[in-house]
Amino acid sequence: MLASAIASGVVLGAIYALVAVGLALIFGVVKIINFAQGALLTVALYGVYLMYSHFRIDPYLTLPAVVAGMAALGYLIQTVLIDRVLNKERASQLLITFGLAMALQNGCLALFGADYHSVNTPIDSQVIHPFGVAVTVVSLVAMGGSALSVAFLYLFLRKTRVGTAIRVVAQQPDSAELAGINVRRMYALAFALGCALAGVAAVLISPMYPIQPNVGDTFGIIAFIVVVLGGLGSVTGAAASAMLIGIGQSVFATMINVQMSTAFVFLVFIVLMIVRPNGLFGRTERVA
Amino acid sequence: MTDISAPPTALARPARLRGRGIADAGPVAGGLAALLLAAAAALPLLPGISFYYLQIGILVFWFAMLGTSWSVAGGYGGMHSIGNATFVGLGAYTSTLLYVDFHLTPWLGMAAGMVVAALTALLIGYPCFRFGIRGDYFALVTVALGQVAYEVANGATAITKGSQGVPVPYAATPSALDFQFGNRTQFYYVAMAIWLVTVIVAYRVRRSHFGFQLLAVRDDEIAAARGGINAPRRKLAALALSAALTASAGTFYAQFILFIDPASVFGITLSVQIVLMAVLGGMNSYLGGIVGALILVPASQYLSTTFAAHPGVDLASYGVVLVLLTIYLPYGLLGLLRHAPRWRSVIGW
Repeated sequence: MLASAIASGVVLGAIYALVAVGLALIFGVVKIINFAQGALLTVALYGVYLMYSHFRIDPYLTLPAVVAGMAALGYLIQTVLIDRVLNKERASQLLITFGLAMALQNGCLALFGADYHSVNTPIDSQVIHPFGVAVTVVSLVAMGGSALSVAFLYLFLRKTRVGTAIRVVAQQPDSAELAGINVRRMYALAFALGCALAGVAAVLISPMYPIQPNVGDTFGIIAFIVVVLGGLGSVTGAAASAMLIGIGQSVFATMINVQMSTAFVFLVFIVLMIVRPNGLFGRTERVA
Repeated sequence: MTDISAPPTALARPARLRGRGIADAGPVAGGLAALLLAAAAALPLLPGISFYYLQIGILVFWFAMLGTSWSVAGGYGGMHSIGNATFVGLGAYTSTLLYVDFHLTPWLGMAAGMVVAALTALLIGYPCFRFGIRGDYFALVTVALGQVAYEVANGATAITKGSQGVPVPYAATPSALDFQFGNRTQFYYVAMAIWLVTVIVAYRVRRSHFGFQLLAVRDDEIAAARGGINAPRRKLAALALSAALTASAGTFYAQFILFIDPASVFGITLSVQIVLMAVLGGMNSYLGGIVGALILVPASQYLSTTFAAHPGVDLASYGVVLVLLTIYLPYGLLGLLRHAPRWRSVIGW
């Protein structure tokens, strides 16, 4: 029982990681807490659903379109909305993404109703039994996709010129500007990347979760916890703490109490937030 | 020869710098405000007014009161809480459970709820301020606090009946002692009174020595500490007061609606709505709540009845308003007055 709890925890952690890594990137670079990350995930899920229901496209094959669409949406959100409040009151920056989340999530509710939708793929009923633990193939795909995406993001930030520029902006926006980096564009790119990752997450989880307007809530809020635990703004820290939280939550739910498992996670979060505001892995803000 | 033995009160409190508060409004604006209050009080006496409109009035006062309570911590102290529904819920559940299980009058239950909420605020605030959690980090802690409260209220079914909710039994002979009234228009006056008390408390706090210290802490915590202000303690006091005031609204809600469940009193939507009232009105002012509520409550009622067939449109428009506000009106409506010295003193910016 413990083994299967850990296995489902790892899957959960992999999904949390995808959402949280995008959030961490946005926070690290733009220095804004994106409360809309969960709602963006919902929007992307409806994107998958629309393509699936209208054109009968396999959910996995919607990946390029969803990712491109989400990246464009993210770029727009940053340039049209967030850019304008960056030098205003801190409270406005906090609230603008909250407003965005409400608008997006309830916009989905208004457009598509509260009904549950689901998408199917040929492999979604297959189960394999490595080490005697039952694991669905779709969750393995989700894990693999998550690992690949995080690795890709890490390499992108570390090895490319644009990635380096993004990291420079995260650490020293003023010096970056002096060095000739277009800071605002890097902000927009970081936001676009963060949203694109939510798009990847949406595609990977679409066969596993029913699609409805509140689907992103849990992921969005858990993603904060993950990001804070990983050290606000740290991409690798977020990935690692996502695993910890996924496994912790799953084990708690199996061993102690399902209903209280979310409360447990938040409680641990509050305590850790207060005791270690820079995250479990120490160090201050840093990307990758 | 100057009298050097005179107490230096004038020096300690330079009147011109402080302003005279609402007295600065002058007879015309002051009279107008008094007239408005009288008109609001006379609203239920209007012949043929339906309870539907009074209910909107009650909601206006309720949300205004919540917005003002939020401002005591969020506006004066810079502690932007996105979890105030926690305190609403604690107030509602404390008084209701005491009433249902022990037949304690909701008025005492209200006091108990306020104490519970204040203690919760202290519990969460003390470590936060002790370890210097502020700004975005504090907001995140309050979001998490709201989630914990919501999940616990849902999960602790033995005490709270979980998501089923708790109906408040309707007394056979409604009496004021039971916080129930045969004539439901009286709820209008109760709501108005609670709002008025909250505004007066918030105004007094703003004008007090404590209020000025709080503002100093908000604007520059390090400088305030150097000036001899115990910053964590001031913030803690403001947060506890804000929580206690907020909890009293919870009891009112329970007695008025006669039913509470975790989603309605602990939900994050309520937390956001509370912030929205204060932000639209002007979160640094004790009047921000009423200005925000006067606009947002009727607007959302209108939207939700007009688009009753399309749930989500109302809250989506709320979100859009919030986004536009933060871009075009970051200090709220009353914030437009903040550069006029006289009005600044009146609204207590």
